[in-house]
Amino acid sequence: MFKYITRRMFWSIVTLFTILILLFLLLQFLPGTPFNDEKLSETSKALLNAKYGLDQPFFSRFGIYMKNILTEFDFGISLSIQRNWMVKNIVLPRLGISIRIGLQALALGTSMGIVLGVLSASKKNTWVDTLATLIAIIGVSIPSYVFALLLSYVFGFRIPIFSIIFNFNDPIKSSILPTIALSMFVMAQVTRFLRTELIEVLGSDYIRLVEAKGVSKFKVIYRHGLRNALISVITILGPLTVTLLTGSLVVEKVYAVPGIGSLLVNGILTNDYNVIVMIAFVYSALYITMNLFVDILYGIIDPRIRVAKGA
Amino acid sequence: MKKLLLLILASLLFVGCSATPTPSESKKVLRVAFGGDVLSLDSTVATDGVSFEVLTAFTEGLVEYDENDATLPGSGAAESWDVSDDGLEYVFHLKKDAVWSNGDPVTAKDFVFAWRRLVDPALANEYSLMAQNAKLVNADAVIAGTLPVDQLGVVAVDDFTLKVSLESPVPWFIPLMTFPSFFPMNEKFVTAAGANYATGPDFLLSNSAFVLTSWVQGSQIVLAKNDKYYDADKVAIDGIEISIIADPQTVKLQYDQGNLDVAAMSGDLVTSYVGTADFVPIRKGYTWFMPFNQKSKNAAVLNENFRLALAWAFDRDFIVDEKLNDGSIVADGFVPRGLASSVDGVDFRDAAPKYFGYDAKKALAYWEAAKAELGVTKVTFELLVGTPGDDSGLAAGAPEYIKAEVEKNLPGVTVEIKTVLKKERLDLMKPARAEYDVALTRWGPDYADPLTYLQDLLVTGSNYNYNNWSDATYDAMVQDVAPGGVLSTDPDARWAKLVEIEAYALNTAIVVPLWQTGSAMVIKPNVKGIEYHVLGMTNYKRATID
Amino acid sequence: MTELKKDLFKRLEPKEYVTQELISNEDPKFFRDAYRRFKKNKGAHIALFMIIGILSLAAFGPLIGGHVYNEVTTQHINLPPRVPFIENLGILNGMRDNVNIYLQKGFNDVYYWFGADGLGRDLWVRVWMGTRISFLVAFVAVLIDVIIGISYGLVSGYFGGKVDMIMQRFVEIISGIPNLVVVILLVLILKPGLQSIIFALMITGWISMSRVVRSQVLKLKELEFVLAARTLGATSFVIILKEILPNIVGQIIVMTMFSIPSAIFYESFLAFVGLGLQPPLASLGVLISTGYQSLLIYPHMVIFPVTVLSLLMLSFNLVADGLRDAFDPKMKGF
Repeated sequence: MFKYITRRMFWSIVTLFTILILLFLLLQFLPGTPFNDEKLSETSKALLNAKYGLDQPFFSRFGIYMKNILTEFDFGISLSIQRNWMVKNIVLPRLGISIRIGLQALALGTSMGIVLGVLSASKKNTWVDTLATLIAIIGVSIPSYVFALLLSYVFGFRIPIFSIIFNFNDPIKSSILPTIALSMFVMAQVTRFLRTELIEVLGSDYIRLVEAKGVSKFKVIYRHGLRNALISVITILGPLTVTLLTGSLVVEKVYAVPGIGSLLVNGILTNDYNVIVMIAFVYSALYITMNLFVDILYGIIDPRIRVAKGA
Repeated sequence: MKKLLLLILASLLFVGCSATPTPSESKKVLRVAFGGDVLSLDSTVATDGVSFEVLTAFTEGLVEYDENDATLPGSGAAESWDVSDDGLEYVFHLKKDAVWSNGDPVTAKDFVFAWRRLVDPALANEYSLMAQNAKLVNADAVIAGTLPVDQLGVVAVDDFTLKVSLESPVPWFIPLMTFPSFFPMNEKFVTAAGANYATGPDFLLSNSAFVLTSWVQGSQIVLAKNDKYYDADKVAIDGIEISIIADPQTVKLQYDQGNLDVAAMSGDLVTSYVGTADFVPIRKGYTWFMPFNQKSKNAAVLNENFRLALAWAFDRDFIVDEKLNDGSIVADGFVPRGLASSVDGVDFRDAAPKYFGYDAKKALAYWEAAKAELGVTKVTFELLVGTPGDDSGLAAGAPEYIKAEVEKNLPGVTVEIKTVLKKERLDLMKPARAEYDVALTRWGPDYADPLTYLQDLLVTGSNYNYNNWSDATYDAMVQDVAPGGVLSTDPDARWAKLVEIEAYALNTAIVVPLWQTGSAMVIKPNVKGIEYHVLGMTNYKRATID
Repeated sequence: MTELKKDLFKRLEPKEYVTQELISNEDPKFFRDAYRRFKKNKGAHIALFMIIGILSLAAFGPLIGGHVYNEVTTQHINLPPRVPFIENLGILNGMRDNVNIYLQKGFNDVYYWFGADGLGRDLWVRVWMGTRISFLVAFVAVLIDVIIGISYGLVSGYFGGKVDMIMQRFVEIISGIPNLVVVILLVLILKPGLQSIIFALMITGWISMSRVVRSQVLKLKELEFVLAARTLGATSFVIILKEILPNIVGQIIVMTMFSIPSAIFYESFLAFVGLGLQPPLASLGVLISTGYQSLLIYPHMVIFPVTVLSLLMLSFNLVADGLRDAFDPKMKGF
């Protein structure tokens, strides 16, 4: 067991390291300099480039880059979002909000997804199945930003139940709409995955035995089948995280949530490369950590995996 | 099943609490929406409009624009000033009762410290160029690093007397002092704050009507009335609350809901407010225009008749009225309206004729002439543009509209639209590279004089001469009216010459002015007194909420 | 006694008796079986017709309606939808805020079935052209994905051992980076445009395909029929092609059906963030993100492309679901 965990952690770290290198390489290819003003003269540009070390040779830049990140988690200075601020001081304070809304959406989406998944699996191929599937994927059939704005319009403006924008003075109540919008993706994925898994589990032999024993259909599904299927939902936590990350870009913009999703969109718009790189790294780290967590959890729960993978 | 019930219960809880709009309650707080956060609240570092607006709210420079766009003595930190006869020396007498929010008096040394910091080459501030625009003595040398910063032409004669020396007379020097780059800074405070300066309310001082009380990155900026301000009794509101909302439609929902008092609307969203009491279109100073690269390999671009044909081939009114719809106006000439007036108060645009318009027949005639001169029947050229989101102020659909109209009215002409990110566009256009045929670009005035367009953009060798145009006659004319030129001391003659200069350039259609940017503000009818300026920051000092 | 005359017998040509002897290939029966199961799924069936319907409209829609793609008519900007005949029913009649804009402006015989956009261009034509472009982009990206993914998975799974280990390590590292990050960085570097988007879409999609293929190959390669083929002297390449590939075709089709709509959807997301296709190309994604900016004022600009997109997404998902159910013999219904 211990060996398994160490192996996984080792490879996670290797991946993170590789990502850092790749990000640096990609940084070199990003076109132009971040200085966007029409008024900037050549001499000023030269001074700015020198100040921010943009004119050093490749390897010394790389060396500085790696040293700063590994020793101080320093991804450099922001040039177009908050001039002269350290990027980590811009990104890290905003991380908390995104993670909180992400977790809220995960919880809401997963619970809704389980309900719909069970419904559609137990009544497979009937209209209930199709309806449940439709409801589940409505949220991902309409582009997220359209859905988010409509949600805002109907439940924030027309029927003023919820707050139209996120207000950090009232973080829980004002994060309801963004949470709902973001949870739609999660709900869709969980529903469809659970439906597949549940159908497969329910078709297996041991379930047939339980049925033969005379246990009611209700109990079959909820007691025996569901437990196994739920475990497999853990496997999709990785892709779910990616879904949340992608969705957050849009949701944060529409609801004015000051998280790292809206920061990334801003960074792209203003070509603040250091910010983009740091957020890219944070996203990758989140994803890898989630995968590691899932793998370890799965290893604990299902001994078959442990044996197969650890060997 | 259990989970489902739990969920229903939870949602019922939320339905119970309804969100009512937040009125201004007993405190009169002005609620404003901005589309983005500030870049920096260090006045020597900031380069963007949002930062400048916020800086202007809590910092007072030597002078400020009043509601009539005039810069009078006593409007800012300077009680009065004297100008030498040759225009090379200004002596400012500062108000003696002005204090910083920590109690320290505002002195001339604060201005000296800030200006030296602006030009310090070690700090490499982007807007050190403002010192060069102001023609401060030794500005070029100090910025280049060949002279120490204390050689800059600004000195504190005593605590309340500031002496500024210029290399050549600058007629618009006083209005230039409204620019935030010239704001004062409390040396002791700034030095003590070190790297933390301007990172939050604890690391900033105010010497104006409002003081910064809270700044949540990317979300909100809150200012409260500054009781230590010497004119505090004239400030009618208790504070300003700035919400940072990136999505324009969310801003609209917030405004309509009653959660905002002031917001800027854009695009189609404006149509729902036109004609209502909330609609307040204001004019800004940016002019969008089409430069023609004289270094282009495309011979058509170098042909005057071809440029004139393009100038008359499409309807700028359509772009302004239908696509922008935000207070923008058609640019009748290169110099924007509201930028500069003659000694008698006549705006430059009223003194000059209207250039170009929409006349398909005229365009066709020019095209025929061009074809004959070039010896071709077809021309294809590349139109370099940015994207509306990234290249702010670019009207959505303008490039496609221009292309469609040009191709329709000038048969044989094909327009290839090349869309790039703004910084790449600027890079391609810069004289050192000059890799484009025709582009859509804008220019904002740096100072209140037509030369900011006529000279800075069109004179041979200028950094911003996107056209790479070189005309000796033109250069000579401009030299006459530039600071230090023969006409620089005769305002009326100078004025007439400026009109002539613009005519010379536009008659060759070396640039085709398109539109002058505006802003469609929506302001709740009970809010009055917010002062907007073409060249200069919004002033909230005299705002009132009924 | 009847004589067994010679002419009662006919000599069989070798071809005839050989074919009779051959064990018929599994595939046709498998597909027929799957098709039967697919037909049972009403939802998937309807969805399939929906897809065919939309694609036909994409192909022929722009030819009807009376307007030309990209025709800028400045007097017609922002006109609401107006369809002849249907307008008499009270909907799609050119009304906005209780005023018939067409009649108000004197356009009595002008009709825009989906309304006009901000430059007066016909949205009916644009939506169907946009569908074409979106579909093309998605299809090309997914096709390349499939080719790369299959090759990678086949090689990795079949050859196993060291080769497999290295290839999988590589995949593990690459998949550690969330798609979003890769796509954004790629599009930033390559500049937004048709090629960069196809490239970005494709670069992240092949991994899941290769994983599925690889796991299938691992399962199959130990089975007897592969062993049999090898004893008969078939080379690896032939085995892969003839024995393994046909068995995973089902899975591949299912994955493709899932990938296409998500590629289209992703493109619309990129358009919103500012990294999508640029004018004059107008995919569904571009139409939606442009129309979104006027959602509260001129909803017709966003409703129609969104509806087409959602129908495509829903249909593809339902069909893919149905196909997956149909191809999986384990789920015999319960």
